[in-house]
Amino acid sequence: MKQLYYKMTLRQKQGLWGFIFLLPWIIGFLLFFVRPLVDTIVFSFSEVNVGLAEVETSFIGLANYIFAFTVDPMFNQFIITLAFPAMATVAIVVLFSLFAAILINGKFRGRSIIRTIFFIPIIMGADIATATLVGGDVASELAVADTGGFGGFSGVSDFFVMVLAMTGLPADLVGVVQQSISGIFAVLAQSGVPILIFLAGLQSISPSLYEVAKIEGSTAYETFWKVTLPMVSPMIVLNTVYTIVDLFARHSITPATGGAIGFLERINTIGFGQGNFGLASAMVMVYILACILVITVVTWLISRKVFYYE
Amino acid sequence: MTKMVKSGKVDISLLTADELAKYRQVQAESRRATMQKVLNGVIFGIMRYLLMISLCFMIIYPLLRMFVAAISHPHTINTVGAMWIPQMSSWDNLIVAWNVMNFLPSLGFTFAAVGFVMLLQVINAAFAGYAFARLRFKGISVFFGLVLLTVVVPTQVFMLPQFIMFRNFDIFGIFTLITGEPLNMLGEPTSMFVMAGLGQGLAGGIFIYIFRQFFRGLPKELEEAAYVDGAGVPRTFFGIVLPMAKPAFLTVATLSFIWNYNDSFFTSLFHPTGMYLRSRISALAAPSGGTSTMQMAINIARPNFPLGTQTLTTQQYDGIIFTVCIMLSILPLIALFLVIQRQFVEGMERSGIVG
Repeated sequence: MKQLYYKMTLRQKQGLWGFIFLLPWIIGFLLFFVRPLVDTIVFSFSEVNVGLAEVETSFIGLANYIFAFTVDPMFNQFIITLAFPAMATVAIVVLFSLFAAILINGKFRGRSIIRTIFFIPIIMGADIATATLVGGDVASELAVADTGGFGGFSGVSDFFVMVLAMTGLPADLVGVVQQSISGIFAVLAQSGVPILIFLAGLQSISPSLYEVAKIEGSTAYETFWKVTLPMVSPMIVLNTVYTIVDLFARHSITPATGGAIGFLERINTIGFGQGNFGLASAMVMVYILACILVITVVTWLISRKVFYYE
Repeated sequence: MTKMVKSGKVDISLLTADELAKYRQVQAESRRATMQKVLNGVIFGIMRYLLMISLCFMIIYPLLRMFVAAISHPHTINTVGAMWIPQMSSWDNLIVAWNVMNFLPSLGFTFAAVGFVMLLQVINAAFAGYAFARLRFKGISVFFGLVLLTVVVPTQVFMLPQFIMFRNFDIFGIFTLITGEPLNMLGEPTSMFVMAGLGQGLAGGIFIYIFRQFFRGLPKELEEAAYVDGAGVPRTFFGIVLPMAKPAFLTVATLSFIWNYNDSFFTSLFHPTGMYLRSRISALAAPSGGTSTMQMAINIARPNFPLGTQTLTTQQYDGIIFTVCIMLSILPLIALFLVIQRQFVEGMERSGIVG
């Protein structure tokens, strides 16, 4: 063995060590990703009976998939909302975080305090941040109720909508504006990590590029479009993917009966609650494929516009 | 030319009347332009601060509300006109929430468990990231593609098979051979530790990606020099590369700690009996028929309250206590973040998530 190792070239040794360094991950991947994936695929085509000691599966073809699409009351809604409303949110989050990152970039008084505050949504965790920032936290809800809607933010956004409606703009436009105003807290809650990534990207742009732009007499507007935007464009891809993944993991719908239901929650109910592992697995499989499809298409579309600086 | 003094200033006394008038005009124009520039700068600065401050206010608004709720006297919560300054302040809400959360022991437990998971994740990601960056072997790009796949597919969707798997945990029948039956790893933190250590914990793929980007950005010459001097791969990695990788370690460790701390999915599925703060919050938020979950929790914790602590039984009061519980669970993280925020942000900037 030792002889063999000494005879290897450096490149070969590096490759060998690379494999050794990667081995834990490969084992983990096989055990905790491939195996559950295979299980899920098998379950999705079977009727599953989970006993105390073993799991029995009997092949039933596409029945679970057919049931998910044609009988289950919520599944179609989950898959359809995955594409469009979710994409609008992603675009808003990415644009907002680029804006916010440019805002808090650079040197100014109170920089570290303001940056720390902007990163608080990361600390709170998306679920709590969304719950509290959206004004769903009990304290502010009660405050709104008790003070007649004054002082709570829902009051403010209602006021805006009223003003907008009076200006005579088309109702569709007012609807869009209303959504984005009442959604600003949700956007803030989700843009913690994207802001961080954009900020890191902005910091890494070489100052000499800005110097050249200044010497050539470019305005701030031109500098943004010709220098800043191309240089952060790889981060736009990264943030888009991150935001989509983040959003999909917490994907939820609000059925007509009220009360948001998360997709994972629904899987949990069907799988553990109703004991229908087969149906739940079929849903998971469709969901995974939809996620991969959406992310691939979006990444491909954006990457064509990206400027890579090597 | 001769009218110019050496310092570049114009000696006015030498100018003709015409020249003087022109000179005055030019000077006034340049002064106006400068004024305009300064004014623009001031207006821009004010707008910028206004925007930043209003966004900051939106972010910390719920925290401030929580704080006010925590120090208000239970009987005077949300009385009209007392939105920011409580009419009567007391520590009662805080004491109740503190005991309901069983705060100090839970905090210790959470920090220990999450800290260990973080350690395992960081170690795994550092090794894998270095392999992807520098120790490339044939077909390693395929593995990197698979890492990206694990990023895209949220681990949580595999909860059903994972649950079954951890109930009957066995690798190639080894445990059945030794003990006669597969290992039941549910209800123990071990299952989470195993997953984190093997790179399949929460956001494991993202951490590998961060390390890979960082290592790729390091100058190759240092490692090459080490190889020329006869160091092997492990020695180069531990002796040369790791000491340079502090920013990446800091970034990954912070994110891993925060995300695991805030996660209630893994903990409630694999270790439901653990005293995780976030699991406790989810449990308190769970709907229940009949008596509210919060009232039951308050009644259980009641023997620990100091004498004279005021509690109520209204739904509104439950909500307030719940808010204070959330505040208690977030505060340690915010305190921690305040300590390391400067290094963290700098670390993010240097750890080349970028590019």
